[in-house]
Amino acid sequence: MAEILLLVGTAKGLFRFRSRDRLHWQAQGPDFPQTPVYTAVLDPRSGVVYAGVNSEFYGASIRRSRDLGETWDGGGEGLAYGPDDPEQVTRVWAIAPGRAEEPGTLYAGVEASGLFRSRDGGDTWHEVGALRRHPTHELWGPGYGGKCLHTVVETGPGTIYTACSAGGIYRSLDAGESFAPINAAIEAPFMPQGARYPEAGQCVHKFSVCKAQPRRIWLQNHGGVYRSDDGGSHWLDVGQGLPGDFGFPVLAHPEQPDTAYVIPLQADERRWAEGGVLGVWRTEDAGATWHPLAQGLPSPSYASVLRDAMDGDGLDPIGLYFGTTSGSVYASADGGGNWHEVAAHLPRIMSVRAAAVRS
Amino acid sequence: MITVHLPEDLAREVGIAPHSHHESRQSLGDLLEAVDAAAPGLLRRILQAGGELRPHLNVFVGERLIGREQPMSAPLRDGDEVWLLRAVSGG
Repeated sequence: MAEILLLVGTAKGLFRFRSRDRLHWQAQGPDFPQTPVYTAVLDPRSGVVYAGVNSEFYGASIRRSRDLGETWDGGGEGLAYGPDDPEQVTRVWAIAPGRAEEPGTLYAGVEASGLFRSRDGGDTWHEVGALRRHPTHELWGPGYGGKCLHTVVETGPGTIYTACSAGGIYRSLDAGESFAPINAAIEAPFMPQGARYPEAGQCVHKFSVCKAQPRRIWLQNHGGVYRSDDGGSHWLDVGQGLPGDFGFPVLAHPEQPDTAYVIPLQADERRWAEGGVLGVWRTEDAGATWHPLAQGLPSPSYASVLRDAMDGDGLDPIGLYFGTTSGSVYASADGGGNWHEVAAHLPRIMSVRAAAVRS
Repeated sequence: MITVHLPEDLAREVGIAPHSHHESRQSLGDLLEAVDAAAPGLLRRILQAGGELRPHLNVFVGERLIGREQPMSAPLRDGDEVWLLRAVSGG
């Protein structure tokens, strides 16, 4: 079977874990010690690992490794707003490889919320400026984690989805020349009555697109789990079967459009799992019912799982992985049926990414 | 001759010695641009897009603290020692 590489971004560096059986793990790193790493990803097209390195001292950068993290470069150029711009690029939250047909194209989501694109594998970055020029930009504000564009996915020629918190989901159908908010029928429960369905300003925690059916999108909002079957034009509330509809990550199964995963937390006073019973909840019927997957997880647990800290490896059966704010990483090699601890006592975990390594 | 002292992590990042000697220059900007030419990436790590010093860094020329807003215009004299220091705050 393929070797799995886990990239675990934390508040104090990047930790890497490798396994050939998804049960026994070899720890590597840490890289960038004492430096927040909010995201890291293996580009399956090139084998290059990209990491969003957010130095409090020297600024944000996107570093590259061509040997699975053993060595890193200093990052490309251009990851900044203009000198007269009232906003600064302070952190990288998202790095997303583009389509297979455009192997040099990558996207990056940054704080303050904005979108960058590289056409040369990360040598140079340019802002996709239409997003911040949208008239609703003035409605965007910082969530607790910061005013960040945390999710970007290019699903087809010209089709780009992004989400920022707080701001909402935006879609481009012309390769970033223009964007439109697609937040219709998404409730913002923290707003006053009568103003809970704004065009923009929603606190999107995460969305995830089904690879096999890219018009199916799953959304975890700040209060609300939704599904779209038409690329975000319409949303259906599918959170009723969960112990709570608050949480941060959401993950679409890449090949099974009716299967998705969330980690419900108790909002808003606690933000840990109901009763301290931490678990991944799975639907296999498009959100009609949800079932907990907690065998092997510690209980009680008072940890949270942040928006980028859950991923799947795409194998069959799918391996699932998540990391907690208390520094533990858990893995399941059987789609969530049984969990084991990969690592504990790491710094606060910001992101977990799993990828099969080409041999 | 002017001596530049950099934090070790920054020096390692840009591939220069933490303590280096450079031809005398008229201003901090002239000096750091020359250092950046030899150690690419230095300037973008210490300056924000508008030219201000990043928030958790300080620059001293000798014992004189340089202002944050326009650090590159600070004058230099032959024999100066330039210290770039990072904050020691953090958890």
